[in-house]
Amino acid sequence: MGIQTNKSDDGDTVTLQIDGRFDFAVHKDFRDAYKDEPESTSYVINMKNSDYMDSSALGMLLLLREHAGDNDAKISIEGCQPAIKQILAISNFEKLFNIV
Amino acid sequence: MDLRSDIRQLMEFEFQCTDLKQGDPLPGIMEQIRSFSGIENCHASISMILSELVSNALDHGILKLESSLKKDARGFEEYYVEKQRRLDKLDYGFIKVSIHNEITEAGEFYCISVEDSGDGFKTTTQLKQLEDNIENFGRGIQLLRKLCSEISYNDSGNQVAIRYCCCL
Repeated sequence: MGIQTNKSDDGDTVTLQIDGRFDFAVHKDFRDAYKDEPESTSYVINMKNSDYMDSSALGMLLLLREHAGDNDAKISIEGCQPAIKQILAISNFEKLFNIV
Repeated sequence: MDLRSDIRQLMEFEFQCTDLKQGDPLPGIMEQIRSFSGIENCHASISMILSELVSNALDHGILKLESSLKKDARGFEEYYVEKQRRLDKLDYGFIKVSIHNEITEAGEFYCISVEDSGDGFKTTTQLKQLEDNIENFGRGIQLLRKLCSEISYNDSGNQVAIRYCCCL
């Protein structure tokens, strides 16, 4: 349970792997992973070990996007299970994030 | 013609003030509902729906928190600090959750009803305001509307019922 953070060797990309429930319980770890990063950092959210998200997770993703430069943000959300993908799709997050 | 067939399984939960103070009731409900046969395919969606319904009941119905506080990172934090503060002070409140599944010609449906002890809300005016909301908050009800095939409130707004088609 929780979030594992990894930074690429060049320091340009931060990967956040969500393990278990993606909800408010992880908000501090989630925020700590990016709050000291410059706006130019790219992010990969790895969802392969998460089978659950709620609307506060959607809020957290939007706050990350804001931090990473809003429309200039480079954020990919990877490894989503079908139900998570559906939730992101109906929230119109495909327009805001790169969902792969 | 009434397409609804017999209820196959029914589960009911009731959380009193002391239960609510002891922690988030959701993980417990999620675990219990795994025993619905055939829920594997839609467990994540139903978990999300339940999470929105129960957190709305607790946060807004009972604790009267305003979602608009969550407009930025700091507010997000404050919201949950304030939630805990109000929860600690709570001396009365309950949430009742009922879940059943049924098979119809149109597919398998899950029906969930959540009632809270709060004063409810003005369903027509407040729901209208959320319709075109693009903020960081207030996404829960929008999601529910898109996920569920039916969603209805009682007149006083302290009870909500949804129907979800398990056909992802």
